[in-house]
Amino acid sequence: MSIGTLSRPVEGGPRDGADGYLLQSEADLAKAVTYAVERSTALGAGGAIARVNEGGGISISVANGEVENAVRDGNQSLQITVFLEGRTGMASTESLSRNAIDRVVEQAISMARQLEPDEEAGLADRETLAWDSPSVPLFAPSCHNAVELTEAAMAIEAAVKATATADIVRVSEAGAASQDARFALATSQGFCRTGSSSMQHRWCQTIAQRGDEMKQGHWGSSVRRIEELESGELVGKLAAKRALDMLGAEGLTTRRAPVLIDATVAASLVREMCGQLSGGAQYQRMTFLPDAMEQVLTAAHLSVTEDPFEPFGLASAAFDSEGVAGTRRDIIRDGVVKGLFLDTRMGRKLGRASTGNAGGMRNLALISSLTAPTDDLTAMLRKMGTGLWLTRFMGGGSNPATGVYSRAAAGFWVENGQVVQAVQGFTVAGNLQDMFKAIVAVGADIYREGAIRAGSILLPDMQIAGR
Amino acid sequence: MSLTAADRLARAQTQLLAANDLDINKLQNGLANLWGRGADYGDLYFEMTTRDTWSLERGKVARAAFGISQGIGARTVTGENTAFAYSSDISGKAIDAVTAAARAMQSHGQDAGETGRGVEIKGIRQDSQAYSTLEAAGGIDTIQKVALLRKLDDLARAVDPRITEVNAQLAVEDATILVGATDGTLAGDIRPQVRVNISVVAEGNTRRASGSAGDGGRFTLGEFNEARLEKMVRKATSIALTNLEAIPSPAGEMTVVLGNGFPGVLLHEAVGHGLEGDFHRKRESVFNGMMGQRIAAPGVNVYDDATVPDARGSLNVDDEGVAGQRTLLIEDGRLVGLMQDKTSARIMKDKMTGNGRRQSYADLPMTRMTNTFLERGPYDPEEIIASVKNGIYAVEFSGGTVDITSGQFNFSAEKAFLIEDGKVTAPIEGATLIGVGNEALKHIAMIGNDLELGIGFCGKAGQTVPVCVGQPTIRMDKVVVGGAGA
Repeated sequence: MSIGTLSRPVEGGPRDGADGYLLQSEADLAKAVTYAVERSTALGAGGAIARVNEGGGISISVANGEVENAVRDGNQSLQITVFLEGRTGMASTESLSRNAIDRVVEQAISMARQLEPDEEAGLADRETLAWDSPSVPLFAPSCHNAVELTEAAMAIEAAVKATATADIVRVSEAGAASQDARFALATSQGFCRTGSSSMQHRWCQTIAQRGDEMKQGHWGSSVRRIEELESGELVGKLAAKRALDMLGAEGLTTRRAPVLIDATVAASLVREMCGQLSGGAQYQRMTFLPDAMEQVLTAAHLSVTEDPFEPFGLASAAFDSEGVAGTRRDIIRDGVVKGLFLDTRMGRKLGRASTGNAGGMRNLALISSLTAPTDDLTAMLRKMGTGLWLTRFMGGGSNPATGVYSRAAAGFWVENGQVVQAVQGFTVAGNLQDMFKAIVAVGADIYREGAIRAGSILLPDMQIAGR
Repeated sequence: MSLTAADRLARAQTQLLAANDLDINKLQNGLANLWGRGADYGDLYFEMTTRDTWSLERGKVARAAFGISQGIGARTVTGENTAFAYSSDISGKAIDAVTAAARAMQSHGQDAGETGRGVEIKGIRQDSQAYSTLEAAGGIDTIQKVALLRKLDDLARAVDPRITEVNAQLAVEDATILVGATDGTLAGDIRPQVRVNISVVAEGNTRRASGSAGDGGRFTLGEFNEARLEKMVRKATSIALTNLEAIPSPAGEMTVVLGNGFPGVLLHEAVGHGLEGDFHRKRESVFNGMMGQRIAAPGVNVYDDATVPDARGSLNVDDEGVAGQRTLLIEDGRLVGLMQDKTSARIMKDKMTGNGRRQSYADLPMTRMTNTFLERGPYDPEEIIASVKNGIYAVEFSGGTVDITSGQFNFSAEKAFLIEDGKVTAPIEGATLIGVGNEALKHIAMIGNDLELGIGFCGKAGQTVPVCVGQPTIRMDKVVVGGAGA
């Protein structure tokens, strides 16, 4: 077969029709991956898998009532992986011309010949591939042009300006972006599927000022469908509030105290839990819980679920980057590990089947059997009584092998369920092995950060270090 | 083979223009099209980068990857308004398309109907030469690359039987860039970059600990001789082995001795980002309006220096075609300079410092650091440790972050010890150091004579660029240390 050059022109806005900002059809992309796979096997690869991505969109940021950056995105790339008896050669190119594909395929094969075999490397087993599973709806192009997105960004800044405050609050950047993406995946087993998706973004970065003191605030909304976006007014208002609320923040002295991790940042703890269960962590034993299946990881009232098929979910996919479909499942049930995150190779190394997680975790949710519908933020603060309401992580991290956890943070000091003072300039520390089991409650104030849904998380006793 | 500035420009033109049936005239015409009547500035950036990486996992080099990244970025700037478009195709048609798209994005096309002005570009003057390697691999073939990784594996396992896992990676990158701008700039660069890193896991009776180390720069792979590999292996294995024995870090305010090299991440976070011109133009930095004021202890001199020979963050020219240079940021404790890109320098009426960098042709340039370090001082490192009654000695760090507006920064120790009565004692884990940028450096009490640079990745607004950080051993008082211990 032959394909022409697929290098793309770039235009100022989306073209007419329902294809959003994209210039190539799913059929065009399927041709490119099919060519790359055929070329690989012709040159001696025992197996090959190729993926091509096309992305396009417009991103506008404004400040001081003027456009600051106006960017027309338009990108494409092709990745090919070839297997020569367990030797894995990978290559990528941003040009989809036949010459470029030929060059990288040849390079991948010649590199692979120099490698040592890894018996578990290779394509997913034929019978695990998602030959004809239903696709998941993810494509909802807005077709908004630069003018419409500029108006959306300006509306966010206007909401910040309209905020009533005795202090100064301004926008350092308000933005609106709309993007569409498309891919095709093919393997030398004859598998070839395609898909398209959309993303809509609104964001606002603010600075609140009182004398010489300056504080940042941020709020954003990222969804697949335009109708799910939070209004520009809300995005601006919340960004302003988050900066203003931190003015006058004081330090905290070193102490032990309960900590309520706000729902907007609670996903980080879910990520820490699930990080322990990734194939890489389990295989390389970069975890404090090796051979995790059926072991206790968290308090008994907690469960974590994964759903790859949520319509318009941020991490949804009908199949993973190897063509394997995931399942709706429990990762943790009643505190016990019930699932790992495996691709084909890690699955083989650990003597298990792929869980369809090549390319990452899907939509996750943290659930507690103790959560009552009335457990909103106010109720959770009352449940904590006196302690730290942590609303921002500044940095730091954890060591997955030991569970040692130490992070710089900011938030509010709470007494008897009432906020008394914004606080900053301290760290919270503990060990994840103990923290996961010590979690007292999860709020009903569920927030989706990235593809993780969680309510606020109450920890009974953390070490706080400050002045 | 080594290249002069003229060689580099000629090679960049050959590889990016001639090889794609383009020439200087076509580039000048593209700039003229890009530059509407209302625009202050426009540039076209051409890039071709090839990269290969080889990975060792559990004793085997079974995976390798090769990639080509190439394209054109077109930018036009009017006041503070930037419009940008890019294409992964390098051709006459692509130049027409990206310049038209960038102009259409400029203030919603208000000047798109205007005829462009003529542009004439010529090679910029460039006296310094930070690196001159033609090819990062430097003749090291694929068999030798595999052998180098196996050598790392052997060296690490030989250190101690408790080292149970070794992963290593080798990356070789060659980038060719060419930038033409409406201010008459024509500049090209050939940028090699090699990096080798290793991570290990140590297993004791009851626990596991990890450690990692990396080395690299704008030189050839041939520089990785046995001594260099051994040094990296010692660093990674000692972090893991030390942490097998570590007790939880104490928490609270204390005196801290920071080791030399990568602990210079302190400067990068505490002051570096806050001295980037774009954050000053937008009045976002805690250092805004502090020029000339004391922001650090006397004796503290901090540079951003793109001219360090063969260093990871060095630049012969930046991504806007400005020659790389050495910029004094803090002199004897006072703020004396900012890093600038073209846009911020123009708007702030400040001088350009060659700090305009971008992750790739598909990203907008911003003010970015190159190699940022604290100049050496008079003290012997031993003397510095001995001066501390009780505190901690932090030797290795994993990284840090800063909120440039409030100045709050933090960075995380990977290998640290208690200091008791002037002596280094028990290893500690989970120490996160925090502070405020415009205050912390005032508490630098002693500066060592052992300046060293460490390699890093610097992230800002979603773009990552290679940098070095560095410092000699220093003593800082009144640092807040967060840890799980009492």
